[in-house]
Amino acid sequence: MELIDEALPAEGRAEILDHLKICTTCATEFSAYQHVVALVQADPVLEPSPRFWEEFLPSLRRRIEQEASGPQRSPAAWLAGFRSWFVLPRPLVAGVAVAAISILIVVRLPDFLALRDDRSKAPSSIEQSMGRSADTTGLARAPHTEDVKREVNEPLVVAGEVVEDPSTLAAAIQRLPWVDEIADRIEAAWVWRPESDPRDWLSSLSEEDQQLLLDRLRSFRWSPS
Amino acid sequence: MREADFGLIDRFLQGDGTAFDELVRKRQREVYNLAYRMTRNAEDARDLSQEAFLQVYRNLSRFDRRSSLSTWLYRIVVNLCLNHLNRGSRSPHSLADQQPEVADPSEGSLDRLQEQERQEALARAIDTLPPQQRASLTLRVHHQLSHREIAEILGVSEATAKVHYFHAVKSLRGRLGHLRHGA
Repeated sequence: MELIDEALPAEGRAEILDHLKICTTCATEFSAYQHVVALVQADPVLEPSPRFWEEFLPSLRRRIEQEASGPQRSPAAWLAGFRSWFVLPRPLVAGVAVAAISILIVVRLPDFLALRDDRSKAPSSIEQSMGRSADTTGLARAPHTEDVKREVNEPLVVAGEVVEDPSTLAAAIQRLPWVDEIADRIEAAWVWRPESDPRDWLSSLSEEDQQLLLDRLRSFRWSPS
Repeated sequence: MREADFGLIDRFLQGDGTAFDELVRKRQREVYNLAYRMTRNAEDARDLSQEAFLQVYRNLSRFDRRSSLSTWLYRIVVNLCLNHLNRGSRSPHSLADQQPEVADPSEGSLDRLQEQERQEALARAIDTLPPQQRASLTLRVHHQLSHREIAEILGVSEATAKVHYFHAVKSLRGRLGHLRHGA
């Protein structure tokens, strides 16, 4: 993949290209990935009409003027909302998400330690927002299992880093892509309702969504068994 | 480019209204294209593009210049699009209604149909990508940003940005493997 991304140093690149000359399986796979990237590169944008561009700036200007003169929206509310957008550091929001998830784990620890393979869940709102279908194979596996790997007798690897003790686990969880998605949702809820507490978002999850969140964490196989 | 952008910002902050107009005209297409590729909906892309520039207008005085204007602007656009996608809201026109027509009229009808099929399959496949993967893919492939820049825009680590991108490509590979270029 890094070859396609042109992220390899010259020596590594030469070595892989030599291998592709003699290995048809790898060459076929490489060609398939190149083809996908080429398809994406060639993907056109639906070009708006010329009138759209002529009207874009005037329309924007009208909105700015309406906001400046309109009494219905309080500038303070807008400023508070957008200030939170730009000033609030994302690590803080992600940290709140991690803390809230950790609280859920502690409260549900007996269930959390058992390894279950629940293959019967229908998609919930979390599932849909993470782009997962009702495919049962997908439900049994973590959404980004490449992020978390554990072979027998090998250390736990989370988000590409070895987790050697519980104190580093929270930091590793924070690097998981789907935790960012949860942080995104919390941040989005906070921006649109700046008076809300982002920790309320997790407590507002339905029982089903909370269970799904726990299932996801469980499937990372924290325990060796 | 960076100096030119900061020059525009300086003019705006000094009360030159034409500076903002200049900034919009300079960036409107790339902002629209980014919003369109994220939402795959022209009407949503238009609304989100305008909203992005509104946010720029309201907050340009707070831009601290630690990043480039492009990075800051892209972050606004991407965050708006991510929130829009996560809310699940979409304007009425369906994805199929919005596919650009194949541009070259000199192609035979079979080639046109095959090209249309490829575009529709790609659009459906991209539509299944989680928003963050879609963002990483779009920023990398269409805006040629580095993973470090993408990470700054998405507010994630560089490693996470790479993971998003690689997962996106792998997912598309799985869904589009039956298509062959020119076949």
